[in-house]
Amino acid sequence: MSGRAHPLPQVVSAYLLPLVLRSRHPAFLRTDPNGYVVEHGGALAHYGIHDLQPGQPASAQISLLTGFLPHHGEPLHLSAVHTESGACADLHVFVDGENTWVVLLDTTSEHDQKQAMQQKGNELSLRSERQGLMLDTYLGKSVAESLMAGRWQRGGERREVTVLFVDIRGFTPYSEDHSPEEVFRTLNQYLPVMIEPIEAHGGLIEHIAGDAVMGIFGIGESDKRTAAAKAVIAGLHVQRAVRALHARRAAQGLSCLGVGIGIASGPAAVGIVGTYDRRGFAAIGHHVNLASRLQGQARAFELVIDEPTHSLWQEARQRDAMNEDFSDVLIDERQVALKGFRDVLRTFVITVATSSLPAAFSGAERF
Amino acid sequence: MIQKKLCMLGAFAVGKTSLVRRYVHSMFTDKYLTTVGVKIDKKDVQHAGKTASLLLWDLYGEDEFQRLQTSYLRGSAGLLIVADGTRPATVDKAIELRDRALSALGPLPYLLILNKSDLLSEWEVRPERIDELSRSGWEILRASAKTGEGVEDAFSTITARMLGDGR
Repeated sequence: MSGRAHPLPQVVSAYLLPLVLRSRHPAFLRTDPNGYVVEHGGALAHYGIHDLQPGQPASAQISLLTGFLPHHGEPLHLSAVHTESGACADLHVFVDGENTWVVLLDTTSEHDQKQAMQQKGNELSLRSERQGLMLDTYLGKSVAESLMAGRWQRGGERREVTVLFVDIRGFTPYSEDHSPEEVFRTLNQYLPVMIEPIEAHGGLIEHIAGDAVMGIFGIGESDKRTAAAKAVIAGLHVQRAVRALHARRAAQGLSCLGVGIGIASGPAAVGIVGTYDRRGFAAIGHHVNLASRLQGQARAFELVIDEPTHSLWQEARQRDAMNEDFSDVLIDERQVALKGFRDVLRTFVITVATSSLPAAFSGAERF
Repeated sequence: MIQKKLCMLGAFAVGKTSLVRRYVHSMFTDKYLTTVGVKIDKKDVQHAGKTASLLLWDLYGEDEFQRLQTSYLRGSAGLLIVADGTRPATVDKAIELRDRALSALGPLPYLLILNKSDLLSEWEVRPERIDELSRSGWEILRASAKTGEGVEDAFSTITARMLGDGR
C-alpha cells in the first residue's frame, strides 16, 4: 500500500484523548527560563509530588529534575523514571518561548512488561556467561594438566563430537512483521525451550546467535555413541517443548513458529580460542558445518540427522536400555543435496507429531 | 542544602541497585531484579562539617539490547561505575561507559567499584588487569553489596570528590 497518510480525523483524536488522559495520569509544571515554578497541575500527586511552591526552583522541590532545569535546546525525553510514589513515568521537558514545560506521563504498565522481558533476557545472558566461565575454569585446569601429557594444545584437540543446531523457522519475516517488543518477548519464550533440553542432556551451549543455538555433545565423555544418542534425545525434547509452548501461545491467540534441528557427528577440532580476557570454547570442522546445513533442511518439528549420528544412536539404543518414549515420533529417510558438499547425502528425518500421527505423517514410517 | 547527583553506571547484573540498597537502606537480597529506566534514591551525607543531599541515579545496566542514553546523566556531579569481579567483560563495559559519559558531560569525578568481593575466590578479573587500570588513572575500590564491605568507603570517596576535595 502506498499513498499520502491522512492526518488523524478530529473525531478519532477526540475519542482517543480522554482514554489517554485517563490511563496516563498526565501532570505538568511550567517554569520560567531560570527553572522557577510558574504553575503546575494535573496528576502530580500520582507521582508523589505535593506542595509545589510557585516562585521557587523546580529542581529543588522535585529531585528527579536535578540537572535538567533550566532547560535549553532540544526537547528532552527520559523513559521509565521511577517516581517517589512507585509509579513509573516518562519525563518530557521542552521549551515554548519563555516557558519551559515539564510533563509526566505514567508508563508503569509498559515498564512492567519491559522489565519482565529484560529480566528473562538478562538471566539467559548470565546463564550463558556463567556456563562459558565454568567451562573456561574446567578446561583451564584441564589445559594445565593436559599440557604435561601433551594434550589440549592451543590449536585445539581432535575429538569425536555430535553437534546440534536449532533455529526458529520463519523468524526473520516474523521479526519484520512484529514490533521489537513482541519479537523480544517471543524470542524469550522460545530460547529457554531450545536451550534447557540441550543442557539437561549434557550438551554444551557453544553459542547463541539471535534465534539460533548450537550445542555440542561428547566433550565431557569419551563414548561417541552416548553423545550421539543424547543429542538426538535432546533434539526430541526441544521439539516436544516447542509443541507444548505452541499450545500455550495458541491459547493466547499468538502465532506459533516451529524450530528445525540439524545434527551431525564426526571429528572436530575443539578447544579454547581467544585471549585470557576474552576466551571461549569452540568446535570447528566439517561436521559442525554439516550440522548447520542439515538444520537448514529441517522443517518445523523435524530433526535432520546425518547417517553417522543415526548409526551411533541405534548402536547406543541396542547397547543401553533407554527408557525414552518414541510413540509420538516418526522417522523417514531423505536424500539431500547441500551447498558446499559434493555428494548427495543420506539423512534421517525424525518428525515429532503435532496432531494425530496418520494425518500428519503420510508416507513416513511409524518409529 | 546542597544537592549532588551521582549516577551509577555499569553492565547489567553487576550489582548497582544492590550497592545503592546497601548504602541507603542497609539491606541486601540475593534475588536479581533487573532495572529498567532509572531509580532515584536520596541520602543526606555529612562531609567536612556540611550536610549534602546525595541523589543517587541508579541507571539500567547496558546490554546488547539497550544502550545507555546519556541524557539521563545531565547535571551529574559524579559517576560510580560498577563492574563485577567475577565477569571480566563487565570491566570492558565499565571503561566504555566511562568514556561515553565523559565525552557527553566533560571532566567529572568518577571511580570504579569492583563489586562482589565476597566471591573473591571466583574472580576472573586478574590482579594484573586491575593494576593496569590503576596505572592508567582509574581509582578502583573493591566492595561487596552482600556483606557491605567497602560500600560506605566507595560512596564517601566519590562524595568527597564531588564536593571538591582533591585526590
